[in-house]
Amino acid sequence: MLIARAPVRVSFFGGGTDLAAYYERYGGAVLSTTIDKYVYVHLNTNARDALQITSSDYRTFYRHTPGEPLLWDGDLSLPRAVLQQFGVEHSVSIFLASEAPPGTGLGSSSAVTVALIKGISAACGLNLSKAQVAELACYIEIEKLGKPIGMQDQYAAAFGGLNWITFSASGITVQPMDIPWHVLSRLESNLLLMFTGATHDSAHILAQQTKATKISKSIVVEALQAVYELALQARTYLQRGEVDRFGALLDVAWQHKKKFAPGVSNEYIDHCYAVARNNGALGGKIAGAGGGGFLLLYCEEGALDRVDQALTREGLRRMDFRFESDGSRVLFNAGLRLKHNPKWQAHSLQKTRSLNGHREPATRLA
Amino acid sequence: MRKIELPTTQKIESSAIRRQWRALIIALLVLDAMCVLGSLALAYLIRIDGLIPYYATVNDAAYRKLVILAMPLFLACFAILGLYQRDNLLGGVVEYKQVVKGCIAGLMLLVVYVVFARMDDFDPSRGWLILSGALSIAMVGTMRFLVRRVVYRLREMRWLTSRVLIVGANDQGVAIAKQWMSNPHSGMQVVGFLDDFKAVGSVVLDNIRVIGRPSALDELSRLYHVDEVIVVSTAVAWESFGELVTRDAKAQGYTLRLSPGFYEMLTTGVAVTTKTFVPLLTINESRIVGIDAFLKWLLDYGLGGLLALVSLPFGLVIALTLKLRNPHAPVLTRTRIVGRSGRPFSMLRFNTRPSLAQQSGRRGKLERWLRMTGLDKLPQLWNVMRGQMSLVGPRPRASLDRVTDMHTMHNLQAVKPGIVGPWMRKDHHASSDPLHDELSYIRNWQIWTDLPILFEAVVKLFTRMFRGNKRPSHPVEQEQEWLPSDDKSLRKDILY
Repeated sequence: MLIARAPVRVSFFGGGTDLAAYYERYGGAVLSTTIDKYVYVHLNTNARDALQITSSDYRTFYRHTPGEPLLWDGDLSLPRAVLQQFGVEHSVSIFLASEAPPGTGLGSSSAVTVALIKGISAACGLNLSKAQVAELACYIEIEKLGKPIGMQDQYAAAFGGLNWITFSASGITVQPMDIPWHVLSRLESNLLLMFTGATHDSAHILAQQTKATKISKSIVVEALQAVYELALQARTYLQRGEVDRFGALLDVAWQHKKKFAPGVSNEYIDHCYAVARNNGALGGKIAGAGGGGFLLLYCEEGALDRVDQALTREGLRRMDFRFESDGSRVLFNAGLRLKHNPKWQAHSLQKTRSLNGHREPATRLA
Repeated sequence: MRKIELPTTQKIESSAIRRQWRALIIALLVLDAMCVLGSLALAYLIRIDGLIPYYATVNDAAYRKLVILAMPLFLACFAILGLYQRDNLLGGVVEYKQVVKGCIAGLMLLVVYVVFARMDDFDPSRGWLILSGALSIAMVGTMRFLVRRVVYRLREMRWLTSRVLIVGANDQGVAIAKQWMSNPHSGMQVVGFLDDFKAVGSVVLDNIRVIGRPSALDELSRLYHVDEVIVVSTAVAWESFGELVTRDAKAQGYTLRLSPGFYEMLTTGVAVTTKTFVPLLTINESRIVGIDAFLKWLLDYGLGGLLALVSLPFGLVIALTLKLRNPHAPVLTRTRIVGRSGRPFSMLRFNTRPSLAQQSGRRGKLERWLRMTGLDKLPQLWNVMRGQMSLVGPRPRASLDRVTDMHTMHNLQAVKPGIVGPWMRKDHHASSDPLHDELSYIRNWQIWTDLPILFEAVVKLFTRMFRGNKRPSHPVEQEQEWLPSDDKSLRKDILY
C-alpha cells in the first residue's frame, strides 16, 4: 500500500497570466499559497490482473481488464492518463479522495494529477523532483488531455508553500516568499474561505480567456497586464509586512479579473462580495477561474467573524484552513512496487519543456 | 529564513557544552587513574603490608612500577569498553557494568604482564588479586556514582545538557519530550519540534513549538545549536523519514537518533540484539530488567521476607483476635487484582468489614484501627513472597476498565502492584492527574525511588500506631476502583 497526497492552492494574484497564450508573449507571475486541504491517492496492488480506480469525489468506479482499450473520457480520465504515462496498466487499485470538492476553484484537479504522479512514480521506484512532478502534471493535463488551463496549480501543488511563481517562454521559476512568520500568521488569520455552493467548470472560462488572449483582445490583455502589475505590487506589500494593503489589493485584482471572460462572476457572487465588503472585508476574489466555488476574502483585524456570520446568512459556508508548505509527498509506503514501462521517461520528459532556474523551496521558518 | 526567538536564558552555545563534556571526560580519566592507584595501594596495605603474613616475593620498587603501569592499562580497558563515551555515561547501569568488566580486564592484563615480563621481585597472591579487583571495582564504581550526583546538580543549572530537536510531534514525540522535561537530570533540553503535519509555530507542549518541517533539519539544527536530533519514526511522513536517515548528521554537527514508534517502549524499554549483523529490538515484557530487576527482587524478597518473619507473630495475634470477635466471618478477604502483564491474582488483607451486628451502627475499634494504620495489609507480604506483588509499586487495581487509555493500561501492567506506592506520598495529593505520579514512578523507576516511599510508609505506620486516629488525606474516589464490589462500606476510611 502507498498513500500520497498533494495540497490544493489559493491563488492571490496573477491568475490568468499563467496561460501559455499570455505568458509566452508577455511573461506572467502568480502569487499563491497551498492550504492544508489535500487530495489523497491510495495505491494498492490488485490480486487480479485488473486495473481499478475509485473516486469518492466523483462517486465513480472504473475497472479495466488488460487487453481492452483504455477509455479516455469521463471523470477518471486524469488517473488513466497518468497510469498510461508510466506504463502501469494492470494489477493496481487506486482510490482517490479529496478534502476540497472538485470544481471549487482550489485547483483540486491539478492536485489530483500531482498526487497521482507522486504516488505512482514512488511506487515505480522513481525519485522525481518537485519540478519534474509539476512539469509532468502540466504535460498530462494541458498537452495530453488538452485542457485549456494554466500551469500555476500543478506547480503550487507539487512545491507547496507561499510562492512567487514566474512564467516565461524560457521557463518557470518557483520562488518561496521569505516573509516573517508573524506576517504569515497575520495573513492566515485574516483570510476567509466561503463556499458559494456553486461548482464551476474552469475549462470553459479559461478556454474563452485563452481565445481572447490569442487574438489579442485588448481588454483581456490589458486586464492581464494589470493583474501582473498587481501581483508585483502585492509581493512588495507582503515583503514589507503590509498585510492590510495586500488584502485591499485583492479587491482591485478582482475588478480586473471580472473582465477576463463572461462567467467569471455573476449576480449572486457580486451580491455576496458586496455583503462581505460592507461587513469589514478589505478585498477578495473568487478562487480559481471564477464562476463559483470558493470566495476568498481578506478581512480587516477583528472583522472576520462578522463577515463570516453575514455571509452564512446569505447561504455561504465557511471552510477553516491553514497554510501549508509540504507540497506533494508520500505519507506512507508499505513497500508497494509497481511494474512500469522502463522507457516512460524517454517518451514523457523529453516532451516536456526544459526548465531553467528551478529551485526547490526552502522550508519556511517562523 | 527566521527562527522563533527562545528566551535568552535557554541560549547555550553548543561549543560551551562540548567544552563541559571535555572537562568531564578529563576529570573522569584523572579520577579513574586515582581510584586505580588508590585501590592497588590499599590492596598492598591490606594484604602485603597488613596483618596477614605475605609469603610470596614482593619488592616495593617493583610494586610501584606495577602500579604506574596499571593506571594506563586500566584506563585503556575503560576507554575500549566505552567508559569515556557520552552515551554510556550519567544514566542507567551500563556504566557500572563496564566498570566491573574494565577492572577485571585491567587486572588480568596486569597479571599477564607480570607473567610475561618474568617479574621475579613480585609474585601476586590470590588474596591480593581478589582484593585489588574488588577494591578497584568498588572505588571506581563509587567515584562514578558520586560524579553522577555532582553532574545532576550541574544539570539543574543547564550544564552538560544537550540541546534536542524532536522530529515528529505526535503522542510519542510529546511523551518523550515530557519525560525529559519532567526530569531536570535528564541532560536533554528540548528546543523544539519538527513536524510534517502540524502548522509551523503551533505550540505542542508548554512553551515548545513546531519550529519547522523535517526537510529543514540541517538549517534549523545550526540555527538552534542542536546537539541531538530524535526522529520519531511513527510521526513523520515516509518521504521525510527516508530523507532524514540518509543525512550526514556528523557533518552537520548533531547526533541523529531514532525512537522506535511504540509508546509502550518508553515504559518497558527494549534490548538491542544482533542476529548475524542484523540489529533487532526486543521489547521487554517488564519495565524492570537486568540489574534493576535483581535489586528489586532483593528488596522484595530480602526486606519483604524479613518483614514477613518479624510480623508473623503479630499477624497471627491479629488473625486470632479477628476470629474470636467474629467466628463466622473469614479472617482474610481476597480481592482479584490485575497483576503484572495483566495476570490476575488474589490479594489478601485482614477482613476489617463490620460484622452484621456492627452494621447496625456500632463499628469495631480493632477493625477501624487496622484500617487506619494500614496493618490490615499485612497478609499482602504473602503476595510479595509469591511474586505477585512488590513492597512498592503502583496501586493494586481490581480492573483496568476505568483506564481507557491503552498506553496507560500497558504502563500499569509493566510492573507488579505494590503494598505501598507513590500514591501515598504527600506531594501526590496535590497532583492534578491521579495517574500521573504512578506512571512517572513506573517510567523513572530506580532502586532509589522505592527507598523514600518505603521510609515514608514506615514513618506513617508508626505515627498512626502510636498517635492514634487520623483520617487519610487522599481522595476516597481513588480507592474505589480496586476495592471489592461488596466492600462499599469501607470506602470512607481506607488507609494507605
